[in-house]
Amino acid sequence: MYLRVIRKYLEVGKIQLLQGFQYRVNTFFLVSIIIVPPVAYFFLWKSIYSQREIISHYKLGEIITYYIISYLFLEIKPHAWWGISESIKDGRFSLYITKPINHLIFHMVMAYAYVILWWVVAISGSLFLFFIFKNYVILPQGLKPFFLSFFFAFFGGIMGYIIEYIFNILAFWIEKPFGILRFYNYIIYFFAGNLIPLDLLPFKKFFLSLPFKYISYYPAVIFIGKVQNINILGELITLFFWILLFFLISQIIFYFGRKYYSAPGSV
Amino acid sequence: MAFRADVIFEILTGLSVTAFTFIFFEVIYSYVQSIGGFDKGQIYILAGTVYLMSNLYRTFFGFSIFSLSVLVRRGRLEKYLIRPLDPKILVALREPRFDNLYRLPSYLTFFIYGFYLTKTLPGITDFLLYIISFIISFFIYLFLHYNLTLLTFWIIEVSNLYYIIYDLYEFSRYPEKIYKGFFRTFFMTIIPVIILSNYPVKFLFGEGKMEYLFYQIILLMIFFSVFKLMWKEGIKRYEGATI
Repeated sequence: MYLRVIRKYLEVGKIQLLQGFQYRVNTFFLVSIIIVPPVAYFFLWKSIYSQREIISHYKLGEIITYYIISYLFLEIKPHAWWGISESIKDGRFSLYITKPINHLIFHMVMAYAYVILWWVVAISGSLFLFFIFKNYVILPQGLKPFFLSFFFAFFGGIMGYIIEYIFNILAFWIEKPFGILRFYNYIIYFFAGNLIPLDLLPFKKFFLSLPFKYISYYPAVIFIGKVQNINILGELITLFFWILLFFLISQIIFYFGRKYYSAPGSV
Repeated sequence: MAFRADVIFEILTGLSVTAFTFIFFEVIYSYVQSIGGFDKGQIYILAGTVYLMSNLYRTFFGFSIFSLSVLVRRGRLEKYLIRPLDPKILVALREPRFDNLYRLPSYLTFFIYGFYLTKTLPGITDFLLYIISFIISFFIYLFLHYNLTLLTFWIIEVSNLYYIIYDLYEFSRYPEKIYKGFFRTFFMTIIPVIILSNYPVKFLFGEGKMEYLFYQIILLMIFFSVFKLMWKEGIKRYEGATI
C-alpha cells in the first residue's frame, strides 16, 4: 500500500522533472543568482579586510567561502511558488480537492523534481566561484563536515519549503497573497544568514534560536568548520522538531482553509 | 487600498529591506571607518539611491518588460503592435505596479539618515546634477533590462535571463573603488551597473565631474541604439498566434 502511495508521487515527480528539462537554457541563465552576489560580497569584504585582519572570529577566506556556500544552499532550496496561492484564488484548487493526495507533499515532490536540473547548474556555479577565488576559499576539513553541511541544507530546505507553503495557503483568507510572499522572501534572506553571518549580528542568540538558520547559515558554518564541537544529534532533533511543527501547522491551516474555500471562478 | 493585507505587507517589506540594510552596514562600520572611501553616511546615501532607482523601475516598467517574453512565447504581442502608439513604449508601460510605491518612504530614510551623518547638504547645482545623472542612470538600467528581454525573440524562454540584471545590480550597492581588475572594467563598460548609483551620488558629495555625465550619456546612446536594432530585428522574427 505504501509503495502504491510512493509510486503515485514519484510519477508526478517524473513528469515535473521532464518539464524542468524542457527549458534547459532558461535554467542555465539562473546561475547568475549563485555567482553574482558572492562576487560582489568578495570585493566588499576584501576591502573591509584590507583594514583589519579578522572580523569577529572570521578570516577573509572563511567569510568568502561562507557567502558562496550560503547562497548555494539558499538558492537550491525549492520554492513553493505563487502557483499554489494563485490556484486558490482562481479556483483551480478545486482540482486537488477530489484527488487522493496530500496537497503539501504533492507540491513538494513537484518542486523537488523540478529543481534537480537546477541543482546541477547551481553546484557548477559554486564550483566556478571556488575556482576563481581559489586563493581565498577554504575547503571543509574532511568529508564529515562536507556531507553534514549538505545534509542539514537538504532538511533545512524542506523546512523552508513548508514555511513558504504555509504563506501560500493563507490565500484562503487573504484577497491578494503576493505581498506576504514577497515579504517572506526578504525575511528569509536575512534570517537565514545570507546578508551577513548570524553570529555577527547584535542579539545573535535570538537569531540563532530561530529555525531559519538551518536553511543556509548553519550548513555554511559547518562547511567552513566553525562548529567543530557541534552537538549534531541535538541540532538534528531540533531541526526535525521544526519540520514536524511546521508540517502540522500547515495541515491545520489547510484543513480550515479548505472549509473556507469557496471555489471562485471555473475550473 | 482594496487589498489591504497586500499593502501592509508591501510596507513591511520596504521596512524590512531598510532595517536589514541598516543592520548590515552598522555591523560592518563597527569594525571599519570607511569602505572604498565612503563613510557611513555616504554609504546610506548610496543605498538610498540604489533602492530608489530599483523601486521606480519596478513600479513603472519592471513587470511589463519582464513579461514581454510571455507575450512573444504565446504570440500575443500583435495586440500592441497594431495600436496607434509606439509599441516599444506601450509594451514597457502596459502594466505598472504601483504597489511598489508603498516601499518608497522607507527607502527615503536612507537619505535622511545619510545626510544627518555626513552633516552636509549638497548645493542646488550639485543636487540638480545628481537628478540629471540619476535619470540617465535610470534609463541605462531600463535599457539593460529591456535589451536582455528582447532576446526572447531569439530564445523561446528567457525569463531567468531577465533576473541577471537584478543580480548584477548587486554591484551598484557598494562604492566603485572596491572593485578591481576585470570585474571593474566589465561592470563599468559592458554592463555598467557600478556607475548606475556611484556616478549620481558623487554629485551629492561634491565629487562629481562633467566627464561622468558625458560618459553616462554615451552609454545611454549605445544601449538605446542596441535596443532599437534588437527590436527591429526581433520583430522580423516574431510570429503571432492570435489576438
